[in-house]
Amino acid sequence: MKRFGKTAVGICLLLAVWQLAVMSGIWSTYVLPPPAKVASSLLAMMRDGTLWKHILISMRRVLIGFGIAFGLALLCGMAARGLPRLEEYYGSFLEFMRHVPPISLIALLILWFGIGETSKIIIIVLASFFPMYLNIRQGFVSADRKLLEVGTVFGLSRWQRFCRIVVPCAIPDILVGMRIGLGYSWRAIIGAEMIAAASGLGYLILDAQQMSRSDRVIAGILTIGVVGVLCDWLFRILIQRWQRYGD
Amino acid sequence: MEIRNLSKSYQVAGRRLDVLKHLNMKTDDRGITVVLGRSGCGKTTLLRLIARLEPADEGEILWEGSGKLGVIFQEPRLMPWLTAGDNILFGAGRKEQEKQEKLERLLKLTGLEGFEDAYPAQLSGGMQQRAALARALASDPDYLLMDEPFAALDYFTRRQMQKELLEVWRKEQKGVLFVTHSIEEALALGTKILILDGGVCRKEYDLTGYPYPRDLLDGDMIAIRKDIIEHIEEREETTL
Ligand SMILES: Nc1ncnc2c1ncn2[C@@H]1O[C@H](COP(=O)(O)OP(=O)(O)OP(=O)(O)O)[C@@H](O)[C@H]1O
Ligand SMILES: [Mg+2]
Repeated sequence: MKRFGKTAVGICLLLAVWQLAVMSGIWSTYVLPPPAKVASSLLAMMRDGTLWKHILISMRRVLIGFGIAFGLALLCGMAARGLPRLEEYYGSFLEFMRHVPPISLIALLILWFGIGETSKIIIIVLASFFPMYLNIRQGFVSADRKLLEVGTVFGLSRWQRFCRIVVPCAIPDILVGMRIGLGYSWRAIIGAEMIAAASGLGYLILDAQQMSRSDRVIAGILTIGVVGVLCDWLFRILIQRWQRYGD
Repeated sequence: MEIRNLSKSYQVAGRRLDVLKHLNMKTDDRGITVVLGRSGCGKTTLLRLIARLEPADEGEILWEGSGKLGVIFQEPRLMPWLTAGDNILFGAGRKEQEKQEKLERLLKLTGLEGFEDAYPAQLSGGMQQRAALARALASDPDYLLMDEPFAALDYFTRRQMQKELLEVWRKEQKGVLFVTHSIEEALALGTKILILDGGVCRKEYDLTGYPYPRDLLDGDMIAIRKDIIEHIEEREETTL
């Protein structure tokens, strides 16, 4: 609660500085709209539903892309544990791809898949796969050998040991990977929507800029931040749930 | 359980280290067989071979039981994400009704009543070790293998745990193979003591006739203790 109060104070201060800057008249209100203007256009966009529509569209893309990336990362992570030989074949390729920013591939993706949903989802998959894969792999590979021996002693099969020991050992790492991956997907989708899209929060911002509506631009930015923080907060709660035993 | 001609060596820093050299020994299957030896003599190795966690180089382990072993490691090795109760039932099979009864019985036996919902991190070292004992018993083993389970505990807790182990042994009627480097512990617990040294079983003592709780200052006990010390130290002199 205390923390909450301090956050509120910080936000109020920021708003005050913003208001002062507007009143100083250095920038025209077209460039820097006052907080009240931003709030009213935010409310207007909420009321007529455009904001929700764009949020839902961006979210949908993120969820699909993130889901695919998570599935792939889980498979590759499991393979790294179960079939370490196989990993030798694809490990270097993944290491290479990890260093290529997905936005740099957007030109090719648009050529190959057009500006439709497919290329955006691929961008999200590329952006969120690597942080998830690296964390999930780490979780699976570093499962405690001593605990695994307990499973052996109780006569568990390889599969049972995997489900009952390796997976629980890996869950904290998996959740951390998902949390980072979700943050990455959210950033990537906004970038992709600003390059080529007809809907979504990134498009909302770009469109507002082209119409010189900086109040809407700022409203869009605020929305992106709030949605990102909310998603992250949800994940943090999940992680804390799981690690409740640790204290 | 009979062990014949058991050998095991490791490669350590490019050199071959023979840990067990054609070891022969026989345990007391109704009683508590204590394997006593100094640190590094191969006690853990022996238990790991018996528990089939590692293959032997040579030799065989003969045993008429069903093959179900309960192993208690030097550390408790509880699953940190499970409560004490779920840890105890980790290897206890599927039948819910049976599991619940078993849990109640084992919690009482190991004095962990009221802690079944606590996580391992919330238990003391001694309580964790008791939970590990309960977990081993919950899988209904025919035989318990214990690797210095109380070595990390303080004197008083260790004494308490030894008493509890004797209690469990009396109630559950299971054979126990107990490994330790402490002569006191061996004398307090064993119905049979085997001295493991230099990779072979150097000497054995039959203590079946001595009832529990034992007075370690009793004349016979002191004599046995002296004899054990002499056997271990004598070898030290000849190897030096
Ligand atoms: N996995 C391994 N790889 C290589 N050497 C090993 C391995 N395990 C044990 N050893 C060696 O085998 C010898 C016996 O080890 P072991 O753990 O069986 O001793 P111990 O009698 O249990 O000792 P302590 O009382 O200290 O637990 C040691 O010298 C050790 O270096
Ligand atoms: Mg040992």
